[in-house]
Amino acid sequence: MLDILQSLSGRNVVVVGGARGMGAEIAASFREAGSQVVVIDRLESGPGDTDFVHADVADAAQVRSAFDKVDDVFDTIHHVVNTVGVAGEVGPAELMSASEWSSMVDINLSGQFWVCQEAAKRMLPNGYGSIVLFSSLAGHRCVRGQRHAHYNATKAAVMALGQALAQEWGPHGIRVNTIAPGSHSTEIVREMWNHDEEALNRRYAKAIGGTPLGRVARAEEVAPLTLFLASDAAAFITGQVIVPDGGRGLGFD
Amino acid sequence: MINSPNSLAGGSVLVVGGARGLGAAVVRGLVGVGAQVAVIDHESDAVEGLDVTAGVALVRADLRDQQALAKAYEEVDQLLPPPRAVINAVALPSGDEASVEMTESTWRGQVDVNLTGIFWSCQQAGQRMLRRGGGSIVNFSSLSGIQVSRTHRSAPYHAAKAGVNALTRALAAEWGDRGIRVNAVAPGAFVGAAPAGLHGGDEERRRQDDARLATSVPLRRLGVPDELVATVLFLASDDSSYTTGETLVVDGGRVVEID
Repeated sequence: MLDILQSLSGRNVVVVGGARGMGAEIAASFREAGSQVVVIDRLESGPGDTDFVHADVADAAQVRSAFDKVDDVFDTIHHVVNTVGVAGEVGPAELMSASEWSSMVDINLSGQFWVCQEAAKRMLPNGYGSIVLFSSLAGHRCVRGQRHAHYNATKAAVMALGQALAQEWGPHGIRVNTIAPGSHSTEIVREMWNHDEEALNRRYAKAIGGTPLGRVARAEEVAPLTLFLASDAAAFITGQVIVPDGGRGLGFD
Repeated sequence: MINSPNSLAGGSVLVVGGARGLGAAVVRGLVGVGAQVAVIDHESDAVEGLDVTAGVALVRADLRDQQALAKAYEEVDQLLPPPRAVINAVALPSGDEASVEMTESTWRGQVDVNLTGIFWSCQQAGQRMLRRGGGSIVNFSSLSGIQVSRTHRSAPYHAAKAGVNALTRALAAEWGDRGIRVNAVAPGAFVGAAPAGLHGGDEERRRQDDARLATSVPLRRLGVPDELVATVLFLASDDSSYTTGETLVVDGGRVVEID
C-alpha cells in the first residue's frame, strides 16, 4: 500500500495562498512530509516560509513572474496547490457593483486558471504533475440567507475548470482535482460576515445543526485530503471534486 | 410546433441574444404565442427569420458592460411594459483551444460574455421584476456546464457555463421569496444551430460532427430548434410555476452515455 507521506518526500511543491489559514496548514503538512515548498501569496510570508514569492493571483503577469521566480528554486515542479479564494461582500445581487463582481471573478476564477497554466507549462515537458484547486460547497448548494451569488458562481466555475483541465492534460500525465470545503472556522469566514460575531455565531449554529458530523472543519483538517490528492496515492484520480463538509451538503429541510 | 397560448400571451418578454441562432428561434416562438417581444443583442439589425412586421424592437448593447446593458434595458423600458420573462440566450462559442497556450484575452472574452454578461442581464431583469412583484428568468447554459466536451477544448467556456448554473441557483434562492423564478436550459446539438466558430468555418467538419451525433445520441438525431424553444417557453411561462433554480438539459440524451 502506497505510503502517501513517503511518496511526497523530496517532491517540489508550490502552495499558492500559503501564507495563512488552510494554505499555511497545507504548506506545513507538505514540509512535514519531506517536500520542498515554495509559497506564493499576496500577503507577507509566515514564520515557516523559507521560500516565499509575493504575487496577486488576480494579475496574470504577476502569476507568470512568480512562477519564473519559482524556477530559480525548483528545476522541476511536481505538485501545485491553489488555496486562494476570497469571500467578497455579502449583499443583494440586484445591487452588486461591477467592481465587486469582477474582483471576485479575477481572484476566485481567473486566478486559478493563470496558476494552472503556469503549473502545466512546467509539468507538460516532464509528463508528470498534479494540481489541486480549491472551490467550496457553495458551488453546489446555496446557503439560505447568504447572499453572495458571485461567490457561488465562481466556485462552481472552478469545479468545471478543474474537470476541463483534467480532461485536457490527463493524456500528458497531469492530474487535476478540486477540494470544495464546507464550513470552516478560518479568517475568510469572518470576513464573509463582516466580523459580526453575533451573526457569525448564529450562522455557525445553523450550519452545525445541519451538519451530520455536528461541527465546522478546523483549518488543518483539509491538509490530509490535499496531500492525498496531490500524491501518487491518488494516481488514478483526476477531474474529481471532493467536498469535505461533514455531510452538510447532503440533506434538504 | 409550439402549442397553446399560455401566460406569456399578451405579456412582454425580453430576449437577450435574440438576433440569431437559437435565441432568434426563441423570439419567433414567443411571437407565435402572442407575447410582445424586445431583443437586446450586440450585433445585427434584425432578428433572423422574422418578418419586420412582427413588431419586435431590437436594441444594441455590449452585455459585458454593466452600464451599457443598463442603458439598453432602459431603452426597452420605453418600448414595452415591464417584462414578465427575460431569456438570456447568451452563449459565445469557443473554438477548440489549448489551455496552456491560451491568451488572457481569449480567457476573458469567454468569461466576460458567458458568465459576467448573463449576470448583468439577470441583475437588470431582477431589478425590474422585484419592482413588478415577480417574473421568470431563463439563462442559456450548456452541456459544458455539466460535463466536459471531448471534442472542443475550452476551459473558460466550461467554467463560465458551470458558473451560470450556480448563478441560476443562487438567484433563485435570493429572489424566490419575491415571486421571481430563475432557471436555465442546457442545449445539445440542434440542426442549423452549430455556433459559427465551433468548426472553424469548416463545412466538412461540421457535417461529420453532425453525422457523428446523429448516430450516437440516444435519440439518434440532432434536435430541431422548436424542441428547445418549447422548453424555454415552459420555463418562462406559468406552466413551470413551481420550478426554480433548475438547469434543464435538452440534448437527446447525449450527456447520459459514455463510450
